[in-house]
Amino acid sequence: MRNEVIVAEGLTKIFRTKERKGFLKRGKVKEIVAVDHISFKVYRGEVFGFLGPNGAGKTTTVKLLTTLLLPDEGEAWVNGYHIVKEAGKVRKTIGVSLYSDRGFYWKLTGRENLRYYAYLHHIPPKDAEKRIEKLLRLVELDKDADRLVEEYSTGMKSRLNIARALLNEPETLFLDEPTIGLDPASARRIREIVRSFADDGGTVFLTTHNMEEADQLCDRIAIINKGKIVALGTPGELKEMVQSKQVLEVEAVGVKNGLAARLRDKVDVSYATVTIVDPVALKAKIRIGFDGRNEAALPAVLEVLVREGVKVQHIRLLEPSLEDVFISLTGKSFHEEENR
Amino acid sequence: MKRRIVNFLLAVYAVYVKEMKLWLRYPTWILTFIALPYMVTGLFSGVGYVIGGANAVQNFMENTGTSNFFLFSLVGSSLFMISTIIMEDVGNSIRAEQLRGTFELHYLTPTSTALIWTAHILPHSTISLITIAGTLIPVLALTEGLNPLSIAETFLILIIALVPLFGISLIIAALTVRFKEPWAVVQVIRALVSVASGFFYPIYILPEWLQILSLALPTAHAVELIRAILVYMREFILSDYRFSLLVVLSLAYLIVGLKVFGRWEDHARKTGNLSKY
Repeated sequence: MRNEVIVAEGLTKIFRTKERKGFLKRGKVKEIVAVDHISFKVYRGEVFGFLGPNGAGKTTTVKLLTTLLLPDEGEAWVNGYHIVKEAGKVRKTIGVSLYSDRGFYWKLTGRENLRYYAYLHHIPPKDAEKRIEKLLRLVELDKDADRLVEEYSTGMKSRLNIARALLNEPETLFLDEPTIGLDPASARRIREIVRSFADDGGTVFLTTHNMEEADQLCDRIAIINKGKIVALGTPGELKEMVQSKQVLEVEAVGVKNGLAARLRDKVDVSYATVTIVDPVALKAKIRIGFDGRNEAALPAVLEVLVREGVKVQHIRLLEPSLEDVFISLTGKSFHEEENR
Repeated sequence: MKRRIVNFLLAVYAVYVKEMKLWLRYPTWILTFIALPYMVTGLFSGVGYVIGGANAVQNFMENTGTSNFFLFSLVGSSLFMISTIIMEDVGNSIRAEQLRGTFELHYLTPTSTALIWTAHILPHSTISLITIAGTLIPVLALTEGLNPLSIAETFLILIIALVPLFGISLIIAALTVRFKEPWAVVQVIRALVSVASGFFYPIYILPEWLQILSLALPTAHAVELIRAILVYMREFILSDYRFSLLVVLSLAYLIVGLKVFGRWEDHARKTGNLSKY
């Protein structure tokens, strides 16, 4: 039997907010269901990805599991401890990185920041020094350890964040968007550390909206949208859901509002999304998925684009990816607010 | 048990070192804090001169029974400044921690947050002692002379007086992070403490109802006790009823402050306010 490290059963979080109208008048209390009855299990040694667009409920789930938030409904256990009844025990056994480049005292050095958190984790000074040194080497900050954090680059702060999360030698590591905004070299280093932590028997719960990262790094992925898990499986299993599809990616200028809807109306496609790349030049990436056996789809799509006056710059056929899984399940791309 | 004590001391030490380093890496504030009471004393002398004429200081000394207006005013303005800073600083610090993203991280450690926030009293006390010593010792040396026992008693009273201020500041901090901009409330509390504590005048000149209110203010007792030691040269002040009252109030304010802040923490874990700023 596989060793369950995280178990969530019907976990739900509702935020209540008051609408504001005019200068003084407050509107009704609005309920936002950030996490909606989600259930899943994460096993020892796994890198488990939580993949979803901004506002899908990824960070809220991390905060529930790491005891920073109390659930409204449902239950969860982390490393065998109940997240509400045994919050203190949960905290002793987990490492958490909530922000990639925040969470430090800027007027302290990297080493001083780690020392502060090490002591709050009850690590005796001698052990703390050894562990800090080892972690600084691991995240390649040993040469910059005695510089003030205010002098660190975003990538350095992200790596320091990972070092802090590993301070208490956790059984389970929670990483919320650990590579967001990082240069490729820093992102690669963080992915290597995550992989190696899991290879050594640790468990990683990782949120991301980077589909390539999820594909490369995660053993299993849960796709979350509007607080609900819409799919869960290995990257291979998820991609099998769209295996029969062909994906066409078009880069074009002169894309007008409503193009995606018109494509869906006029051509027999599974989905079509438009992501604006340059709003001034009306430059966009159009992603269209259609049944691979439908030979008429490709010419029909091109015909619609020509009729719309869209100037096609690049066109290519792609292997279906996790993005296509997400689009086929939710009918929208990750960048919903940018869609037309 | 031994492990618990070690963990406790480690957390207190971590907070102390962190806060002291943060304070001392912005060193110019020390001179400002030491100089400000002198400026406030000068300001009051000027206002007094305009209102009361050339005899203003003489009248003040006759009315208060002091022979050293300068020291009387410096003691008051030093304590006024320390109380103002501490009352606002905890709220501001917690807001700053939220903005930096460090606040929430304390809740991910096994150390009690009540201990973490209470441990901040020690570095604040050190800073207060440094600034008050920097302000008062030169004047004492030049006017009344330095008496080690008086200075030790003064510092003891000051440390005890900081504890309730910290309790008040935790309430202010809870209001700050709950309502984001509770400046109106903060200013009312600060004004009330300032008026009723007798920082710049003896409490007996206040209306009776304010004098009764001042009995519940630890700052009022601290000002009276420290003036009794340094300005009126009273000996062994620790047997004064005000000292016992100050100790009781210190504990009471700290407990109430921690309770209020604890309630806010519970509320914040329900609403997600720990990270909202």
